[in-house]
Amino acid sequence: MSSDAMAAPAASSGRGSAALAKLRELGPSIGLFLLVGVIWEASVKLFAVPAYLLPAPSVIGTRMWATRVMLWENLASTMTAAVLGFILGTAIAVGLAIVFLYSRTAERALFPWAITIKTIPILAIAPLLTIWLGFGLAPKVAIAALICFFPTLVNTVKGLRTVDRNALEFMAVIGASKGQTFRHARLFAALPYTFAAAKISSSAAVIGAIVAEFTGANLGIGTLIVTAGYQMDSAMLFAAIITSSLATIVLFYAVILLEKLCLYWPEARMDA
Amino acid sequence: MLLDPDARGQAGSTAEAIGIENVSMSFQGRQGPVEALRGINLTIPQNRFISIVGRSGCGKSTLLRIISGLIPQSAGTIRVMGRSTQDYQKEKKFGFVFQEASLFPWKTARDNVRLPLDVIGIGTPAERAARADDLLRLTRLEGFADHYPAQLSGGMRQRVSIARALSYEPEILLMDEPFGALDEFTRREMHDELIRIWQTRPVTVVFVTHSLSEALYLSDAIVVMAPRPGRIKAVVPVAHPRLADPDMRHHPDVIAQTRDLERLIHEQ
Repeated sequence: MSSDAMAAPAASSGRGSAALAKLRELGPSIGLFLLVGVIWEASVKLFAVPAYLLPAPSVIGTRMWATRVMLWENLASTMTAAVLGFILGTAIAVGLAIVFLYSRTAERALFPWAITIKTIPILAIAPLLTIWLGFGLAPKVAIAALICFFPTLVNTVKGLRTVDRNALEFMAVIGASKGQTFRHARLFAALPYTFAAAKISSSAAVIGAIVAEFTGANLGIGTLIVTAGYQMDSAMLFAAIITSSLATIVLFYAVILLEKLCLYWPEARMDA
Repeated sequence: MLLDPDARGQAGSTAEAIGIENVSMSFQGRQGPVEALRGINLTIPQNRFISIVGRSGCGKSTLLRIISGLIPQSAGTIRVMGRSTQDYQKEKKFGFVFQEASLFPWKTARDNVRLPLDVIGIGTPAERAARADDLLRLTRLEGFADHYPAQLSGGMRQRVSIARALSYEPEILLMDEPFGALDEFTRREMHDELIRIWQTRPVTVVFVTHSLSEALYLSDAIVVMAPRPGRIKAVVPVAHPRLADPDMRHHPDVIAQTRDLERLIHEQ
């Protein structure tokens, strides 16, 4: 019997037990989720809770289906802003971190500004940005970028400097240029740190976009929430919350997928 | 201090590889200036294996870094193959092996070994990969070319480091406590390995260690350094250099020499 033939059944049984392990891992959370849903549905029916206080899951589900096109349009607007802001904020943060790496002067001059940006309450600056940038996509992108900027900057600055001293000395001994040292060493050293920050700021970016929509926008989950709030339309509020949460989870896992692709070497990924 | 040119039993050049004249090094510490090295004079002939031993703080690693130009000396001159360190490095590079594997975790063993070739720009990409594989074979790592450092043992990582340092065919190999982090058994295995590799190619080795038995087993001569300020106390030719025979560690001559060296290190 060839070794391939021996390996095949072992591999398939390995896959089977892996699926079982996955089920065992996810089972409790799925089970509890369903249980909460059933209790919620039952309690609302049993105690005749008015829909404006707490709509039943079935009511929320029906509403989401009925308004799916509208929800999708608003979600698309919010997520476009969140993703663009996330990319923009991360790109600026990484760019600035590289500038800081090579210029202490730039770091001393600009870091206080970065901290200032960090301390600005997003809710307070949102109306200002709306005045400056209008009611469209721009202010939402700006707020999402602002939220992503600081954690990524701090982490990337740290990551770029974590290269082992001996490894840097080796690069010096073989006469590597700054660019070569960056390409072969610093870039990879920084990636785990940058991704640790990016994972967190990806969900923050969605929150940023929604907050921006509160203060004035013609489209988006944030505008839906404000309108539904005025009308005490709880089912719509739940629909908006669930929709944006699901989209945030998708974005979070997209970043994790990108991280897995970029951090291909063993022990690269940091738990964040 | 000139090393005995006959210390190495075989016919080798007695020409100077590294000449150190009156080298001193001091830096500003928190409590005033610290004298790391004072008045170092040493001539290392080509194709010898020289160890530098001494307690921690005697400046042995500092001396290695000054030779390689990583840090500048405060006074004195260093000649490498008859030139200044800076001039020498315009054409040739030092081989350097560090204590902790300074390999890049994101590069496979093969890519770590070929990194200097990529950086210096030696050969075509195919030639670089082929040379890396040759060196991995030399260091008995065939079959591990596609492994990442995290997937290798400490001893294997140091083999990759040695292969990497040899990839650009340096004339001078500087080793800073390369086996310091390894367990005793792996360390002994690496000693025989290093002797074997050294015998396959002519290269001047400057080996920093705090292990006397390691220095006695590997070198032609041992430079004993003392701390505060870092200085050379003696240069001792080794009685039976590099027999690559583990039993040599218990030879009466080796034991006697160990005792003498210990005395040298412990008297201030």
